Amino acid sequence: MGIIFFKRKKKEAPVPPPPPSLPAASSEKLALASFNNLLLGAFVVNTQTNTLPLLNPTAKRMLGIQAATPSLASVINALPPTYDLQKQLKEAVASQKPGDEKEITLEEKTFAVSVVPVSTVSAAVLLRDITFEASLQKVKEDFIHMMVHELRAPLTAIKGAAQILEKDKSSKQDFNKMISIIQEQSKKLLDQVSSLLDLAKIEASRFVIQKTPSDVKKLVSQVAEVFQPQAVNKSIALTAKIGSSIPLTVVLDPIRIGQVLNNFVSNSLKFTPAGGAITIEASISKETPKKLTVKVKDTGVGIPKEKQKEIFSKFYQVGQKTDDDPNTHIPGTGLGLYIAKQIIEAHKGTIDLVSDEGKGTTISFSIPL
Amino acid sequence: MAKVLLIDDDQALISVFQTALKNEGYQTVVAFDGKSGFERAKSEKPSLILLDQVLPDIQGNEVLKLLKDEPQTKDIPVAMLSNFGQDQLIKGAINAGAVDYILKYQVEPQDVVHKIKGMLKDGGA
Repeated sequence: MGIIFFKRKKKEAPVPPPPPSLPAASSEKLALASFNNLLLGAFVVNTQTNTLPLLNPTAKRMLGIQAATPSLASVINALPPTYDLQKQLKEAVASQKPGDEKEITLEEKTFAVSVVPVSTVSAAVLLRDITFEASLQKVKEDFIHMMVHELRAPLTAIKGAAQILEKDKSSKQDFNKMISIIQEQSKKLLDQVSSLLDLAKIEASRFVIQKTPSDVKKLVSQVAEVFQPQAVNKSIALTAKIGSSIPLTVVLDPIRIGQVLNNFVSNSLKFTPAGGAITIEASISKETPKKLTVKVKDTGVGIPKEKQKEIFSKFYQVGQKTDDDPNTHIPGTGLGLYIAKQIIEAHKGTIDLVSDEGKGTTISFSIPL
Repeated sequence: MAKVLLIDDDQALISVFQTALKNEGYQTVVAFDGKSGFERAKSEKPSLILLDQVLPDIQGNEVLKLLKDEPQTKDIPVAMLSNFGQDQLIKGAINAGAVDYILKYQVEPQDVVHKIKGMLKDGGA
């Protein structure tokens, strides 16, 4: 007698009954409501009849269309002339594949436009507002341009000085000058790299200061001394004024506060024309709680009002636009002021700027004693 | 002896180019910003101007336009010397009459001296 095996049938889950179907009219209303409430701008074009069966309120707003029932022609007119809508629609319908996303600008806003076939004769056009992403991208590009420039400038001077030394045609005085340039510019390069590292620490919330009783008079005098040769070269009068009420020592991070002062004076030197004046002034406030205030005042070109409130922002640089192309923005002073603000705030202090375009700038910080 | 005006706010780089030019027998004058550069061009009447793009007061291409609009300086050859090489800047400079656009980080001082010799031979003062 053979053994008979029975394969046990798997117990299948009971099949749920199909949901009751919506009446056709309700399905369409639901689809239309979803279409109209999309955050995306959307419209549908029938390429056979050249009509616009659907256009949602978001698209109307994005395109600046006021008419209650706009025509396809009015939509085409609202788009920039560089964007060929008819071509995109024709290609999408013919290939039955979505076209590549394109970028357009309308009234200073940037949109990503994509065309998707929905039938053999119609295609949907989707508009997505990417103004914020585009501005971030621009900020990133400007930052990279700025950093490349800030790193290239000292390297170019070092390379040039080294070549002059190699040629060995120079006098002893010029020889010493070139050595001095290599040393100063190497330090400048190191400072730039340190700024990038500081930025990384700030971003990672790992930026710390080390406070110690410090001689403020010596700190301010040293900064003035370091920048004196540059000031003399540019015929700028650089002076330091130290208030008599400043105590022998103040508890602060001398390296970081030195960094802040170096940045202030360096910016003033850069933006003050020949014959101008820069004053570094340190004093103790009369009111309580007592504060140490250090100001750097110059007779430079000043900062336009509209740029002043952003000047301490991380990626904002007071740069120059060109008449040739307003989109060619040449970055300016870089990370220095943003890092300076972080340093002062780590000292529980405040940083301040007063500037008049064409007259000069006073930048200052105050830290509690 | 030909005179070259250097307009650049980078004092270190100016020292380097000044030394290189002096060693080749050129006289040099310097300015650290656009407006004083324009004034020095009028007063010194150099044979050639090397002009930086990024200056503290006005942009290099704007200084170039001032130089080309001014009867006293319009015929002085101007070569841009910059670390910024964006197409729009180069195009703007050439359209405004620059004879060359030199990217600083790509050249040694001797290369610049060599270019200056060529520019002056081609029709500088």
